[in-house]
Amino acid sequence: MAVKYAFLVDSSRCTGCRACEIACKNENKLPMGPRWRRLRSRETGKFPDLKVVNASISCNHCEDPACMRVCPAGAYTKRPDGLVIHDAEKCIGCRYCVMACPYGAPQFNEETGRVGKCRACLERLQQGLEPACVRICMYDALDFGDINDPNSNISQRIKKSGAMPVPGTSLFYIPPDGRAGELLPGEFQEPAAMHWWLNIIRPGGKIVFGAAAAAVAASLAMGAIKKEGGKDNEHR
Amino acid sequence: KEQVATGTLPYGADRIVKCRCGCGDVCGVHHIADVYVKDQQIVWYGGAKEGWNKGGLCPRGASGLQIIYSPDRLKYPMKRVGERGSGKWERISWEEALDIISDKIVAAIKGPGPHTVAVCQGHNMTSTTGAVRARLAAIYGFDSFEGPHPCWNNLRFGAWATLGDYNHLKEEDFHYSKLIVIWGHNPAIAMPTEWRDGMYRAKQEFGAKIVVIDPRFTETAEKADMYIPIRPGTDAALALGLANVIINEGLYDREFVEKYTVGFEEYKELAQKYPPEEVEKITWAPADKIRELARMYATIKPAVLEVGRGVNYTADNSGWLGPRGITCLIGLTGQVGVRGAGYSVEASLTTPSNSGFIDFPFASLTKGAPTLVPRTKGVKYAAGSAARAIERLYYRKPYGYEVLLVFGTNILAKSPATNVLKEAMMQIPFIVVEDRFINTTGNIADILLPTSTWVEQAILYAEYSHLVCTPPAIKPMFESKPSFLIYAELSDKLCQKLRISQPPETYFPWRKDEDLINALLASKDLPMGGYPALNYQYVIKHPEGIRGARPYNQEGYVWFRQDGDPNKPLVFPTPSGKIELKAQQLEDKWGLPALPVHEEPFESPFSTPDVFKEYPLIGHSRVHRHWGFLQYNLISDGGYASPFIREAFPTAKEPTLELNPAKARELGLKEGDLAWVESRYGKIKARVIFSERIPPELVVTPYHWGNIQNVITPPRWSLFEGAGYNTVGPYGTPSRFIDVSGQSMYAGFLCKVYKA
Repeated sequence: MAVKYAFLVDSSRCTGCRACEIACKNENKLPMGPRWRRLRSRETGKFPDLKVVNASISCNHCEDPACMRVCPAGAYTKRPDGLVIHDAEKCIGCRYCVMACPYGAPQFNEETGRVGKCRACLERLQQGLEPACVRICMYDALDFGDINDPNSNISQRIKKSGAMPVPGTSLFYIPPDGRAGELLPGEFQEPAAMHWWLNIIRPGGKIVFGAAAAAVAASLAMGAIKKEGGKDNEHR
Repeated sequence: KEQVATGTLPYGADRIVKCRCGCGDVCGVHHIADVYVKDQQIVWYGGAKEGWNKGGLCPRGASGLQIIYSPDRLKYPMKRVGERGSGKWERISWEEALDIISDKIVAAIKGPGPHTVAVCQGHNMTSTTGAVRARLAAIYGFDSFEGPHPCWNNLRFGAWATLGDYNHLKEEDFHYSKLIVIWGHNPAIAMPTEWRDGMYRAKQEFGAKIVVIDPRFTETAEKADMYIPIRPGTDAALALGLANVIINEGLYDREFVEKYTVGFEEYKELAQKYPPEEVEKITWAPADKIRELARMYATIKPAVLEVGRGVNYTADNSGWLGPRGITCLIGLTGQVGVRGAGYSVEASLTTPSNSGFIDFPFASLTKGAPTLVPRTKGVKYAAGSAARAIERLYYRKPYGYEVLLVFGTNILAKSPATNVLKEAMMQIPFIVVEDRFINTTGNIADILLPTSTWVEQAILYAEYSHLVCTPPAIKPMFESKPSFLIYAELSDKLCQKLRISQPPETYFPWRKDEDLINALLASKDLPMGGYPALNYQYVIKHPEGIRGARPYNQEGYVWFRQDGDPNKPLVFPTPSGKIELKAQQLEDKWGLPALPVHEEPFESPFSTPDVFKEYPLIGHSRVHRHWGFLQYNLISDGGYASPFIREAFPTAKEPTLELNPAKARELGLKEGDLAWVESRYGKIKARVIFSERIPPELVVTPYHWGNIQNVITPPRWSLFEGAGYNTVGPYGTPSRFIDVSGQSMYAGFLCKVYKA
């Protein structure tokens, strides 16, 4: 079967250390400002009854990428292996994609006047190496690989952990400990489960478009957020 | 292993060198970096799969390249040309620098005496220099001290009083634990590999329960089964509350108590004063949780107490009484002597900076007043020496130093009472600072010496279960040198100027890092040494690490169990040979309480209610994640040298104070406001951050920031002016430094916060 790449984010293991952010910046020689991979951390409840969910989020390499749809310069490519690659050469710096992406993946680089985003370390992949963020993670909270290969590390891990696919994207997600039971196969049978990832990875206010299914999930998640309160925490 | 099909290396590298990760001996774990080198240039830097890190790195490690290639690195020896602290320097040669330094030292030796020269070193940045520093001091009769503020002596002292020893569980030992009580420690962040392969694996794969006790809702608490908040400095009271429940509910191990403890009756009587409801009033830990934990700890076996520095930072006796009280619980329950049980102190006990020095068979070359006792073999806690150094350093009593050599420590940022220390240091006629950056201490130096990074020299690293040596990846950059070589060359100069007849190599035989490492490996005195069969060339071929030769390095070693034999009785190296619930020697030798009593921190809502009225918050410092640990790689503006770190963590960008949102609103503060933290001793300015992780009674103050003064490097970071955190701590008087453990305090003082 053809190669189909996906990322796996395991919030049960992530402690929010941000090494992935730094590895990504190193790898892509980014200046101050853009962070293609970011830790999103959400705290709910009040001291001492606090719940924290950490997730390291980058481009989710959507099935029907909003960034690609809105790009007037044709800078985006959806590859057969699932990766969404942005070509900085073609980019005109209009930033439509920055506005369109519900996950904050494309980011404007003041120095170059162009947008950039996660390329899953394509050059590393071509040399048989894993993306830099996956490599750096001390906690095995990130994984990447071919989900069409049942023997790949990521496939094995998805199978073992029951990681859920995030609809419309190439992302699999494992929620924090003690909530795995909420997760059953089937994308919309468990709205509570949906909210864990949307809650974390979707920066405030944006509605997913492009994938109708994900939009449903988003509205479910919005309800959950309102009910539960909580706060995105960048500092710690 | 990273070679691709074509036979060429990624990133155009011509070789991959396995180097020890960046933190010298600081972080206490065997992390190896893959350094991809092309000619003399590093083209890629990341985690090596052979190391315990298994290819990963912490954020600080990940920013290693930014430290190595930082534009702010100290590149050449420098001489001060303006006023002290003016930031005016002139580049000089090594020859000139060593001449100036040795002249000053010789003048001091011939004048007031060699004891007025002091060598002060922190965690050695390069792993091999701790022992060398002590040797230099021994040869010439200098005062020699670490720090001068050891950060975990209370932790060791309290445990030593009860058990006669302390230990550290190896990662695989945790897999046997059914209950892991993490007390004042944040391993999920501070020790990622031990967390991943030890504690968290025990929970995820082997079904262990994790309980976290901490004033702040830590990253470890996120992953725990139970979290118990506590007021800083009241750990001893919580331990007594647990003892109360365990005794009164008949959950203690009668047979064990009978056979292996002394002082049970008196201890029992003491614990009666601490029913959970009373303890809740003292500690602010909920009574029902105290009961629950007591029952868990008494009945779930094996259980380990994993105790961190958090319990040992408060002022006066409360700092060491915490670990003292905690270890007594082992005596009650018999949770010791099998794998996965016992008391595990967070730090690895055999890092080189915690060690002695290489045998020095000669008498000192100089005659002076008796020097401070260097740490001697067999003494597992640094009795008093640091406290006495502080007397001389801070108060110039009974005499002041003429020359101070500061090697690899930013004492003006990390020491308590930095304002007092700065005043005292300004009176020292000659100060030399060796570092990679011009930090807060460097700002007031007379001579600056540039030191190399971990990839520019050979490194020896050893802790309780891993021994590694790594080769240099590139040559020392600019004119930097490894620390040990600076010591060696200084020693040569001194021999020459003191007209010593023997050749200088007699005293300081090592000119290559490799030779020094071999000497250290062979030394019987070093806890990490004693491996005469090993040598540098052999060990560098094993980046995966070698298990040490000491018994406690071995798989399956069980502390306090004779010869590791489960059929033999337990042996505790205390005066009684048992667990001392009552430790008479504390009273006899130092006039300290023999029973594990609770004493309030010297400043608290209960010990000083009047002060509390004016200063109604408890100041609590924390090390901000990986990058904030200690004083390394800080630049002259007081912050961390890596811009990526400063971007990733708002707490790294500038000094911040964290407040519970409800409390902050009550104080009229908004997130992002600048506010003052003021104690009876001083005040500092910091940016307000809201955090539900902090109880409303606490304020988490910045810990790692030195005096912020943009005097040397043109500031790339525009910071508001402010003083180092440690000026607000309660450290103004000598009595605050405990002579027994030599520990200084960083938490649990009273303060107020108001808008700036």
